[in-house]
Amino acid sequence: MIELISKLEKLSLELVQKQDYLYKVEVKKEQLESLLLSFLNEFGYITLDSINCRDDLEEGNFVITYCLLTPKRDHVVMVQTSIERENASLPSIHTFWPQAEIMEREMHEMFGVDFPGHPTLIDFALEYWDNIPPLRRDFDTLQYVNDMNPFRGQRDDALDAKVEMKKKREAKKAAKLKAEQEAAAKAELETQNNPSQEVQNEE
Amino acid sequence: MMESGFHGCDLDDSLKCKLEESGTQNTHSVMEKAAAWFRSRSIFVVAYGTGCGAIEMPPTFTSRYDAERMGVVGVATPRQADLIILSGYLAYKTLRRVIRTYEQMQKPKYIITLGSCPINGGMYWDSYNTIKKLDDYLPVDVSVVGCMPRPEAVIDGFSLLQKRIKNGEKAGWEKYDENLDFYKKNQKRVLGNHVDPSYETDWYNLENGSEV
Amino acid sequence: MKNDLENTIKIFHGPQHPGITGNMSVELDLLGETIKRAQTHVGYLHRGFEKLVERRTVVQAFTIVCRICVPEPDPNEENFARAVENLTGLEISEKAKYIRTMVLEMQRLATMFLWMGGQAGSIGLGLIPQWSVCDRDYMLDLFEELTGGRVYHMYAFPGGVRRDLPEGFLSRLSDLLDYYEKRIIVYNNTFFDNIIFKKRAIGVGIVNADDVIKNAYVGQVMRGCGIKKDVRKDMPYLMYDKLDFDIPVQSDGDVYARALVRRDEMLQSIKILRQIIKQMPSEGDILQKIPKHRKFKLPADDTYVQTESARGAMSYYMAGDGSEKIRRMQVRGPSLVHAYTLLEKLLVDSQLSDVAMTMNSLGICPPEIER
Repeated sequence: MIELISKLEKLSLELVQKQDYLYKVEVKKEQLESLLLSFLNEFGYITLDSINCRDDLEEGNFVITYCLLTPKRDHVVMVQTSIERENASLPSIHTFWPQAEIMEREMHEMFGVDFPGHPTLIDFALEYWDNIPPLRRDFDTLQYVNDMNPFRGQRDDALDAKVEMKKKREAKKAAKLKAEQEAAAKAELETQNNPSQEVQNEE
Repeated sequence: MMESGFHGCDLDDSLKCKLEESGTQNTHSVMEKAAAWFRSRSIFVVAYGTGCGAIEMPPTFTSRYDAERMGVVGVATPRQADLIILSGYLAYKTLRRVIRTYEQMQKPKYIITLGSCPINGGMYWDSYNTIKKLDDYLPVDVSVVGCMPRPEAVIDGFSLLQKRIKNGEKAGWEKYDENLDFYKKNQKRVLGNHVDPSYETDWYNLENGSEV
Repeated sequence: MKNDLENTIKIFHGPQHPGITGNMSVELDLLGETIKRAQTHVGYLHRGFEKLVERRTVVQAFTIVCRICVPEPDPNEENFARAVENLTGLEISEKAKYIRTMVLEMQRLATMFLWMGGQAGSIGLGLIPQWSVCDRDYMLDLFEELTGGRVYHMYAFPGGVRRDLPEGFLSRLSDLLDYYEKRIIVYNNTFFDNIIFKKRAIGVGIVNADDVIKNAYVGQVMRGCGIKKDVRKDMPYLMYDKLDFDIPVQSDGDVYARALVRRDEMLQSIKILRQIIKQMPSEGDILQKIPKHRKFKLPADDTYVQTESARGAMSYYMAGDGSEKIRRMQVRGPSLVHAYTLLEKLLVDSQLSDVAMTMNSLGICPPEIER
């Protein structure tokens, strides 16, 4: 681990420990491809576990995270970069890691990130999708669903939940009031009866 | 994928079928009653695992719950099946295949759905890729509720269907034939023009489907 | 070669097919019975979980994450809970850790029994599914007692677990483990030593050990090639560093080796569960006090967690943004790489009748590929 830190310092990058087995390094987009290549060939991180994408709509960029493992598999290094949301594009790394092909295909479909040089940017999970990519945060799934698939109407004998809850609350209040009144009346009765009881007890 | 005449249920045939069978619907001869009874005791099921409910199919059909004692037997292909089980939510991509599978089945045919999702979206009510209200697109005979329904509930659904078949009640496929325009219009609304299989009748480009 | 490709016929193996492991399909180009090209198609189960989770608070999202993988929901719950704990710094008590470890191992056993049914059914051994699915059901009964749900448990909550153990639960679990130990001997005789299974499985679907590490194959595919790696040992979570167990490996890398690895893992799970029954603390909190769900905020940070599921390492990436909602949760299950990179490669030049068997032995679960 110390070796890796010193090697990254030469590239003026900082390795941050996040959890027990989790480290993170942030790079610029231009440096990304060469850094991944040196992780693969020089630092010994030969397993690409996953590529994650996050949409930071407010800052106007996508945050891409590559998770890498050594053959020992005892810690994860996240290589993180951020790219602009508009016309987002990234270098394809399917030539380094064959499994990146499918991960990039998914990212292309779900976020609309372009990968120049990728051989198969075809449909992954969706079919005939012509809206904006669904996992972008400006895609409003509720609006889309309400347009496509309206809810089933309620039954004729269905009750309005708000009205019923109000009724229930009022009934509860009334019952409580009644119970209090009854208790008070009972207490009064008891105080009236008490002397006679005491007399009985004495007998 | 797109040849016409390849599919088990040709449209013109189904219309004829409706006209012939609607006449015999209310007569209850002994032979018909016997046939209905036999039919109810030998249901061949094709279990299309469209969603989570597929995980409760193996327990239902194996030794612990043993649905086969009710006369419900699993088969592999839709053409040999009487009943299709749609076990869970349906993505649009699956709905295309399900419609095709259903139309390949020979009549009489029935649909059982498992879980809340085909009824009203269930947990995925705000998902952009699943449908609510399956009965807009296909005629559902029995809906078994639950997330997901236990094997006992599935078997209860089977026995309800058997009772209906035995009593000669009107089944979903007859409703499908009668209201084909309604179903096709709904299918077109969510699936666009990409519905397989295509028929010779241009159902999808009709101005108002109900006029035909 | 060119002539071969012209004479091929194309068939779709799935999505409605008894030999497929769920709602997915493999497009095969066949020359006779030999597969010349295979292409995986998924998306029949896509629900957009990652979008749904973004629209929900942590407590709301907790109820739907277990549905990401249907045959084994608990690694998902564990991943989700641990990711939230990592982000917010929640500490969970020792008893909750033990209970969660126990649930994960119980789930592993249940999944293995279901896998055994599928693997045997895929080569036409009809007896084994009848037995093993029934044996799995006894575990589901215990789950129902513990959590209230047969298949989806919604049990491992951020900060602990939702309910305490019922009275006498551990003794009933112990009885079931006794029963399972006897049954595994029976399965060993009828299934793993079965001459039909051996003839069909040995030498089929061989994974090249050199590809394994670089292409991120995990689970039994990796351990079937002789690579002794397991998240439970390498990056121990919960109580796994205090429990004594081995990582079973085989060297051949074929379908049969993966089956044997799974059988040995079942025995190891039983061993772990027995230790947990002995060491389970009798007292302790089971759930940390957490804020109400409208006030449960995730900091603007990200994390990555891994859990060993019954089919390999399952990872979650989670990021918060300082509000109640989850900014991003990405699931990376073991099936994604297995179903695409590996399966498309393995099926080429194999026989049509081996497709179902190969898919079962890779442990492909389509709902977690496309979420």
